[in-house]
Amino acid sequence: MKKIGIFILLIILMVLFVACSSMTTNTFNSFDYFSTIITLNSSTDKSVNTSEAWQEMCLSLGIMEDKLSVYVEDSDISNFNGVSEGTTIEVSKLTYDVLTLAKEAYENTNGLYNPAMYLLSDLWGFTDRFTKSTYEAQKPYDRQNPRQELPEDKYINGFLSLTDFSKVGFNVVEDKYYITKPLDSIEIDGFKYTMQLDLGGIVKGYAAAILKKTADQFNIEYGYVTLGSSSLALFERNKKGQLWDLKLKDPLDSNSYYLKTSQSSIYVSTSGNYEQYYDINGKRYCHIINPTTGRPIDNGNLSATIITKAGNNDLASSSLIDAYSTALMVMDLDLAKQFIEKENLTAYIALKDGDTNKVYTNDNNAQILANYSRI
Amino acid sequence: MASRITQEKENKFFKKWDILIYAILIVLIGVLFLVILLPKSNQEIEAISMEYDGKEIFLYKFNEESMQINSDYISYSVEGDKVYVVKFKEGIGSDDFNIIRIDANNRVVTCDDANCSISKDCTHMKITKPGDTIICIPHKLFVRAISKSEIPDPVIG
Repeated sequence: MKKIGIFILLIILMVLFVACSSMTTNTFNSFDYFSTIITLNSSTDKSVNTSEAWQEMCLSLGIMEDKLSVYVEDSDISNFNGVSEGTTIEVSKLTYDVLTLAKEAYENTNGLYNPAMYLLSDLWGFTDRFTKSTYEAQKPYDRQNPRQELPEDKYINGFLSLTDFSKVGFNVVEDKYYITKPLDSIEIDGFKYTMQLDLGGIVKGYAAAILKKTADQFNIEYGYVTLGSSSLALFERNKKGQLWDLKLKDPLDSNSYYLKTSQSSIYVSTSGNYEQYYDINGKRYCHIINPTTGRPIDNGNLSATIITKAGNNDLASSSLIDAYSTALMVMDLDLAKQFIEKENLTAYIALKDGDTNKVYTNDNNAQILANYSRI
Repeated sequence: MASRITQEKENKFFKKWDILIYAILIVLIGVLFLVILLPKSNQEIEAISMEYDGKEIFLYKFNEESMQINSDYISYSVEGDKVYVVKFKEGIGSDDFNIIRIDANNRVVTCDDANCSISKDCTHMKITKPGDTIICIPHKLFVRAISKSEIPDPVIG
């Protein structure tokens, strides 16, 4: 009996040792989608085929890119942007679903998240063609050096008049999905312009939920997926149920963090004024355009981050927080607080108030790390 | 009667040793848990990996002081004591470049110079701890710190 007891203990010891040492970590990344880097960090049992899971994820990302990207010539969004005012086009169910979520975000934020801002983003120099050193002025509104010259008011005001996303028509007929371009158009210096869509402000949130679903299918329980520096699907940390220390980058110093919070199994989206910007005469012009003025935000907001728990209508919740994080950047703090409460969000806003760096958050467990004071 | 007393004494003797063995085994299990499962504090960078378009093209291991170059896109020079200036050129004959400085003594990696973009800039990025990255999206260059321990905590923003 004694020997049996010792034998059982030894077996338990061996099993535990093998179980502990059989976990393996993997990192995969790709620059092929959404003009950014997508990364999977996983810790799994050796029996889990993470390479196959990553391939599956890339397949899903490829489909989303092909349908939703404004930079893919024949995507649904490019097709919409290319047609004349009042034209109806058939789109994929995927595009229709994401556009429906974009419409929900547009309505819930009173238009402060707006997927019809592509022309203004391009005007201010924040689309893909400006990210290459080979940039050349091509369009009527281009400047030779968009980092040193501001766009003309006639373009800002003209393009702003083409951003009423509520005018986009949505229709489903016998399992076919259609969207209709608004009748609005303008002409500036002999060139005609119509509404142009860009789902870049919501698609990474949508993709985060899709990738999480794939991870679940392949039994990848531990790790996370990042989409650029703005969206994240956080899985569990380990078998013991420990939490991750999620760190938020300091908008004023990219090599440090301004806040950390202990989390697990969540989606995260962030928007900041520091990722893409240029300075002219000491004033910063960032890539977040205020849909009410047509100009880059200038309200002191530095960064807005929202988290939401995974496991409850993930596609919608992850997409919406992506859109909402942009909207929070446009809002002043009072409006942002009201919005956070109304939508029942957990949010973190870093802002500059005069010479003081401040943080607003309704996460009581968050720990402020850098030179910020809590509001 | 005498043999019964002897038997009881032997039983008692073995029970004491059983308890001792069980105790040792439990302590061993506990130690293994502590060593293997508890997250390591003070994670140290073990290596620096440079990836181009998802493929590793350069690896520097700090402890071994070894450098592995897997691409013609990489060249390097040594400046001072264990300071390596690694030049990445996206394609042979291309003008697109990133200069990555590895200070092996201090385990700090910076992007000294790049011509990647007019609206995004990676030259302010620095790696000092696991989880830090230098990312140049236009050049599809991803520089990251590798540590032996578990996945680094996530960073957003």
